[in-house]
Amino acid sequence: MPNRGVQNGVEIPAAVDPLIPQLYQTSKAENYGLTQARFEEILREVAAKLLPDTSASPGNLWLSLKIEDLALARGCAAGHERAWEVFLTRYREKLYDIAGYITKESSAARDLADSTYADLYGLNVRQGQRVSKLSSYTGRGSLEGWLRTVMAQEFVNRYRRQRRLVSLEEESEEGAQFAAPTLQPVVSANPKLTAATDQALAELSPEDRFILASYYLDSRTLAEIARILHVHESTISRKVDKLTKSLRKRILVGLTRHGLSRRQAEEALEVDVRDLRVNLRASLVQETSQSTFSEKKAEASGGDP
Amino acid sequence: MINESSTLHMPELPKIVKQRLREAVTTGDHPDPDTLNAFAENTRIDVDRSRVLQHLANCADCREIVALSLPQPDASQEVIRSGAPGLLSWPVLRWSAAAACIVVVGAAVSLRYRERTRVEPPAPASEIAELKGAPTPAMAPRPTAPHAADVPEVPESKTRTAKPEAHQLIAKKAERANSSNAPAAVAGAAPQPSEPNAPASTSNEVELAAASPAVKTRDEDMVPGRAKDALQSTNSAARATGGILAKQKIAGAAPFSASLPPPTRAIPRWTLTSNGVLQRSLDSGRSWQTMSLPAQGQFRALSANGLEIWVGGSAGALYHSSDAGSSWTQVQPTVDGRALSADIIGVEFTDTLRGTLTTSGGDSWATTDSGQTWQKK
Repeated sequence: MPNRGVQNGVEIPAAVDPLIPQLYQTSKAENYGLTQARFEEILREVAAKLLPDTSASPGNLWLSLKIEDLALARGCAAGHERAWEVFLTRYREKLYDIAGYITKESSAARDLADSTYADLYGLNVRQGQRVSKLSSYTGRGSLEGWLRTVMAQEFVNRYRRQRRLVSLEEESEEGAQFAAPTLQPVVSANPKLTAATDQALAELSPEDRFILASYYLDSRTLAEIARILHVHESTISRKVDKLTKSLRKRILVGLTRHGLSRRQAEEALEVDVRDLRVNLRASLVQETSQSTFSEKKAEASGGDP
Repeated sequence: MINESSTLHMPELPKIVKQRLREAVTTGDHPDPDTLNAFAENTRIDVDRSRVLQHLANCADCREIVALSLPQPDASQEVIRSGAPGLLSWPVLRWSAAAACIVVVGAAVSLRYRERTRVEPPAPASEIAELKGAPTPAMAPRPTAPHAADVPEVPESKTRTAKPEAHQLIAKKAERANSSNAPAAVAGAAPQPSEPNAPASTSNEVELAAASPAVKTRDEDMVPGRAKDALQSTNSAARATGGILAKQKIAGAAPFSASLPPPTRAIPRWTLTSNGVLQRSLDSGRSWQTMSLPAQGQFRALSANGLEIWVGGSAGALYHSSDAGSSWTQVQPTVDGRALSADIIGVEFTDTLRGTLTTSGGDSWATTDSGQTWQKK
C-alpha cells in the first residue's frame, strides 16, 4: 500500500487520505473552530498515542473514535468560543449531576464541578500556553463518560488528601482522642500459609482478582461489579462462588506441597486468629462510648461553681 | 454498599486471602482517565484490558474511580439490545424457553386448524335469495333458524347497533372497491318496510352489502382497528343470519385475505446485529431483511409491540414505524430546546403512546404521546 510518508511517527497510507475529509465533515469540527489541517493533526496525534505499532493503518481506529466528541473537546481545549457554547449547553448541567452522584452532597458537588470546569477550561497556564484537560481526551470512549472519570479521579484524589489531614479540634470534640486505637490485623505467623495464599492468588487471572477485590475488599455489590465488567450479575455471582471455593482448595494444595499434612493444612487455614468466631479482641479492648464521656463532661461542668 | 442478600449466599473468604489481596503492590502508573473510561465503556477500540485489570486488581483507588465513573444505574425494565443479551440463570431460562416453544407451537397449530375449518364453499345463490325474499320470521335472528342452529342467540339490540357501523363502512369501502362479486340481489338490497322483525332483515341485507366491499379491500387500505370493527359488525350480523353471512364473506375472499387483521397474518420479528444493523423477519425468523434506514449500523436498542417498533442508536438516532417497518419516521427527542444527542442504549415502549429512552450517559427520556413531546428524568 503506497504511503504518504511518516508524519509524527504515524505512517499515513494513501488509502486513508479520503477518510480525513469525511471524518472532518462528520465530526462538525469546522463548527468548533478547527481547520481540516488541525483536525488531521489531532487524528495523527491520537493514532500515535493509541497505536503502538506505527505500521498499523490508523483508518480503522479513526472510524471507531467518537469523532464529534473529539472535535468538540479539542475545539474547547483550543479555546474556541463556539465549541464552548456547545459544550456548556450539553454538559454544564451534567457536570453538576455527575458531581452530585459522586459526592452525594450538594456543596461538595458544586465545589467538585467548579474545579473540574476550571481544569477543563484551562485556567492553568504552562509556558505561556493554557493547559486544558480536554487536550488529553482521545475519543476512545464518550466525552460524557470521560468527564465522569475525570471527576471521579479528582474526587478520589481529594478524599485521599483529606484523609491524611487530621483536625485535632474536631477529634477532641468528638471524643476521638479517647477512642481505642484501631488495631491492624496481625500478620500471620505462618509463612507457609502466606506463601501458599500468594501462590494461589498469582494463579488467578487479573479479572478474577479484580472481582474478589471489588467484592470482598471494596464491598461492591454483584450488580455493580457486573456493570463494570459488562456481564450479567449472575455471571459474577457464579464466579465469586467458584473462585472462593477454588481458592481454598488451592491454598490447601499449596500447604500440602510445603510439607503439611491435609489436616495440618486445614487447621492452618481454619485456625487463623482472624477467622475465629469468638471475637476475643473485641472482648479484651476497653469499651469507650461517647455518651459516657458526654455525661461526665456535663456533670463536671454542672458541678463547677 | 454491601448487598446483604448477595453476601448471604457468598462463601466467606479466608482473612489471609483478604489481607494478601489488600497488600498487593500496584506496579506501573495509574491508567489515565481516557484509558479508564474506554475500559469502563467497553469500547470497540482495543484497550489493553488485561493490563488495566491487573492494575485495578491491586489498586483500590482506581477501582473506586471506575465504580464512581459509571453512570447511575437505570431502573428500566428489560429492553431488546444489540449484541449478546445478558443471561439469566441458565436452568430457569432453559425451561422457560422450552415452555415458550410448546405454547407457540400449540397456538400455531390451533390457529391453523381453526382457519382450515372455517374455509367453506360459498353459500349457494338460492340461500341468498331466500334471505332477501323470505318472510321476515325466517330471517329473524333466532336460534331456531335452520342455519343458526349452532350459533348462539344474538340479542336484537346488537344487530341494531351494528347497523350504523356497517353504513359507515359501506360509504368508505364503496370508494375503493373495484367490483363486487356479490350477488346482484344482495348489492341492490334496500331496507324493508317496518314489521316487528323488519329491522333485523334490514340489518341483514345491509350487512351483506358491507361484506362484499370488505372482501375486496386491499391489504394496504385496511386499518387494523377499523378492520376489526368491521369484522365484529359483520360477524354479529352473521350470527343473526345463522352464519350465512360469514360464509359469504369468506367465500369471496382469497386465503389469508384482507378480511383477516394484518397483525395476525404477519407479526414481524426484529433483531439488531452486532454491528448495529436492524433486520426484520415476517416468517418467524426463517428469513431476514435489512431495513433501509439512514442510521443503519448505529442502532443499539429497540422496542417492538405488534406492528409498532422504535429503534434507537448512536448520537440520538431514533426511528419509529407503526406499520411493521413499511414506513419510518425519524424522531428527534427535544427537551427545553435541547435535542437528544447522546447514544441511545435502551428503548422501551409499553404501548403505542408511552415509552422511555435510556442514554449512555444514564439519562432517561420519557414520552406519553408517542414521541410528540418528551420529558427528561
